[in-house]
Amino acid sequence: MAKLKISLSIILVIFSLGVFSQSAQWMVSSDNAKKPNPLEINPKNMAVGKNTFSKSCKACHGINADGKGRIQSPSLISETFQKQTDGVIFYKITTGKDKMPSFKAKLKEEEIWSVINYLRVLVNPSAVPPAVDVKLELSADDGQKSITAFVHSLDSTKQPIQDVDIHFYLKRDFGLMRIGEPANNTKADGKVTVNFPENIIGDLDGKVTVIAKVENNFLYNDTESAIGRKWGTALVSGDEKFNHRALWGGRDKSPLWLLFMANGIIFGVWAVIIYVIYNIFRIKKAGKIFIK
Amino acid sequence: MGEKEKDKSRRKFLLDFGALGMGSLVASSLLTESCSKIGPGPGKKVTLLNSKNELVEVDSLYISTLNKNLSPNHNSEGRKGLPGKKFVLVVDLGKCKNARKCMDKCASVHQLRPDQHHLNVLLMQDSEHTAPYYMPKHCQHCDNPPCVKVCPVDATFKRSDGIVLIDNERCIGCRFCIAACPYTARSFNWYEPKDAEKYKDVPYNIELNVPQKKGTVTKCTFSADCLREGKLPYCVSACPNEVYYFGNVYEDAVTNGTTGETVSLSGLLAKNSAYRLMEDLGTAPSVYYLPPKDRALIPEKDNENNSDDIKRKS
Repeated sequence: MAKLKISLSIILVIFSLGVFSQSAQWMVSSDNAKKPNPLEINPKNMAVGKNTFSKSCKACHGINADGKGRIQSPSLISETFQKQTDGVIFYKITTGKDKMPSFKAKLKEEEIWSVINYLRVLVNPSAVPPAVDVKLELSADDGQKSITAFVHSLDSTKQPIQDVDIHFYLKRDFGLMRIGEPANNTKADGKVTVNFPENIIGDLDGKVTVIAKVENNFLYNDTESAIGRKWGTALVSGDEKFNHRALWGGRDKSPLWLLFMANGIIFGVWAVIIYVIYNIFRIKKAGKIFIK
Repeated sequence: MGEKEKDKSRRKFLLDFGALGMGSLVASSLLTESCSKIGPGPGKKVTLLNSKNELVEVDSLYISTLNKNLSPNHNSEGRKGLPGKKFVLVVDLGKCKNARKCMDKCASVHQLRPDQHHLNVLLMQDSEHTAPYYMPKHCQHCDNPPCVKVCPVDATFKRSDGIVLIDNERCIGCRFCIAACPYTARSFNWYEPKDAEKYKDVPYNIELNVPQKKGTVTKCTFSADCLREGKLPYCVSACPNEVYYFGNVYEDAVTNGTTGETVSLSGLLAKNSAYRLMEDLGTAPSVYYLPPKDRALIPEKDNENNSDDIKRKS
């Protein structure tokens, strides 16, 4: 009986593994499979694709899309995956199956197509021209409370570079909080300005670090720059109730009246005992003198 | 007779304590001496006190300074809490798909047996006609913690940064805290903990609850050891489904453990009409739940867990 159970479960496991590895089992109608990708592979679309990938796909499929993420998932750079048409991949991303969630509501169609393009480029990096290095400089306007990023070429001529998407962040304890518009592209003078949001809490002095990044960009290599300003409200590390002295507080937080009373009783009782003993000795001494 | 014995043990304790203090003094002076001399000649032996309290002789060539905090100092530091912080966890119930990566990670770092949980993913169904959902349940790190109030030996305590911890070296195993906790967040070491052999010589870390001790209570620590290093807790950074947000209340920012996206805490709570568990008890938890709306996976009533249970019973 037990043997039968074991062999049955082995068969089941093999069967289920087969289902996972063979993407052919996930049936996609030919209409959907033939759906053409409306986006061309260009650096701008690729940036959208890479941003979307790192936001929505990276956690499970891994940073290199090799399936080594937080859960075991199919590799997106394998031959089996890549031989599917764009239409098939689009259908699978939108509908989802088992552990793969449906991204229909989460992502725009154009973002999904961009991700597909990005995955195509991952196995074929020569499809986009190599990226170049740029320099990113930050300046702050204290009156307007705004940050201006200036992107220019590395050489001494400081040629301004137009149309670079800059991501602005505020540094927080566990991560970076995005500020500014969804896309902050540099203008003809290579500059773009974002306003500092209101109601931001800084450190104890109200100091906030703003970080600007060129990232996930296929024309320019990643670079970042940071600037600190006292524009936030000062952090008030709370006068929390649980830090007050209370009857249920720990050793170090017991109420003062309790400490006085408990220790007073101990001291009082001991004082009486010591006083009595002292007097007993005095009586004994006095007795000796009297006998003499 | 009893009085005498007590006295003896106290004297012994004082003696030991003095010896230990002297030993560490000698060792530290030796250590600083050896460190101040750069590039000592080979063959020069230095006597050091190791973590097992043994004096050992080491060639001065092999000595290098560590920048790490040694754990004994750490433990008194561990009762204080990190300044300027009060931690908060937000759980998005709509995202949880019962992947259980958080539980696996938690059990592996905290040396937990399969039946012990610092964190448990529960299948919930509020009433007969409502749909079930998965709910990860941690210690709620209450601001008015019933468990801390009942501890007779000051083993469990609330730090200034809001974390409720337990000192397994003080715990006497009375389990009052387990009885007091309305969230069943604590578990007891009824048996020898998992991998007890492996952790035998590891110095106790109050922020990690490791090594666990048989006969003491263990609980979720909000991964205080990670927070000290500025990292997200183990469970938060293990989640593949964007369930957890973690952050500092004073800074009004929480970071998602999966995407790394940082958002405003007040905005997140307001937009999703967040709630806390058993608000009416006045425990003021530090864990917020976002209602299970637009669920990523609607569990079936006879889901894998249930059928697993049924399987085990038959």
